[in-house]
Amino acid sequence: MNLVSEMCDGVLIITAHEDRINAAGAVQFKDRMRELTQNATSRVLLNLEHVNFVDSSGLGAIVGSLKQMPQNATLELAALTPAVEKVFRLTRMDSVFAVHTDTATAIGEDRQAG
Amino acid sequence: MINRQSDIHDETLLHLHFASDPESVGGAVERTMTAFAALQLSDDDQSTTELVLVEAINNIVEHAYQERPDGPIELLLIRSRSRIRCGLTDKGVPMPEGKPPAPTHHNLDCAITDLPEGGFGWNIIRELGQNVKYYRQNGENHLSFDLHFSDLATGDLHLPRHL
Repeated sequence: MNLVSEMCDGVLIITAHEDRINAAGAVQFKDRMRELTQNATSRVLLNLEHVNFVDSSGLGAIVGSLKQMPQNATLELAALTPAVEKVFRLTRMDSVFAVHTDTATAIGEDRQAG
Repeated sequence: MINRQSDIHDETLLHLHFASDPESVGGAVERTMTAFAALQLSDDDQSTTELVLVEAINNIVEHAYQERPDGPIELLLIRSRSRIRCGLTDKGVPMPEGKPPAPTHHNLDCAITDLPEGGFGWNIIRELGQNVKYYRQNGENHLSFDLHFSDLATGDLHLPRHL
């Protein structure tokens, strides 16, 4: 599971370099997310621009990643491709996460707010 | 064996037999999407098809075969006018109470730690598929559902009958 993290203006951006997050990789995804976010103290942004397919297991792993975030840290999403956006909409999980058009917009919002 | 319907407009789009291990399932999904690509559906319809099929097959792998890798799965796709009828057969354990799980309405207005991490699959199948049917016969699970595509109504099919 190729997840790459970088700090950008105080936001921890995790980019998924995977075409699919599905049943085959769900456990690995959640484990890797735990490693990357265990010391997070504020905003974490999961960049899904390269992900073209998420099934219900992959969705469960993304929700699981939110649930395992340390206190005071939040998990937000950016750059959902159409098929991925559809899964979040169908399951109403788009109401649980802050979803941003892209990472630049997400970071910009933080600048304006703070 | 999946029951074939007897409409003169019916045309077999794809008929696959594969095992319940991840590699075979992945290969079957890939071949299915190649067959659908020939129908020149919109990207939206194409992703809908993939999602419903993946959820239905994942249910077989996880629940009917309980992750056993050697369970036989049969997939039959029949085109009938503007719809594709999808049939899946397996020899795993029956669905609880002999029917697919009832639709669940997750309450998402809860503490983050109480959010559901599963149980989405059947909601997705019901949301995107029509005419969902399930029965158990001779030790086999038979699941079928329709996918309707407006683009299919006029399109011609030039596919080999058995890929």
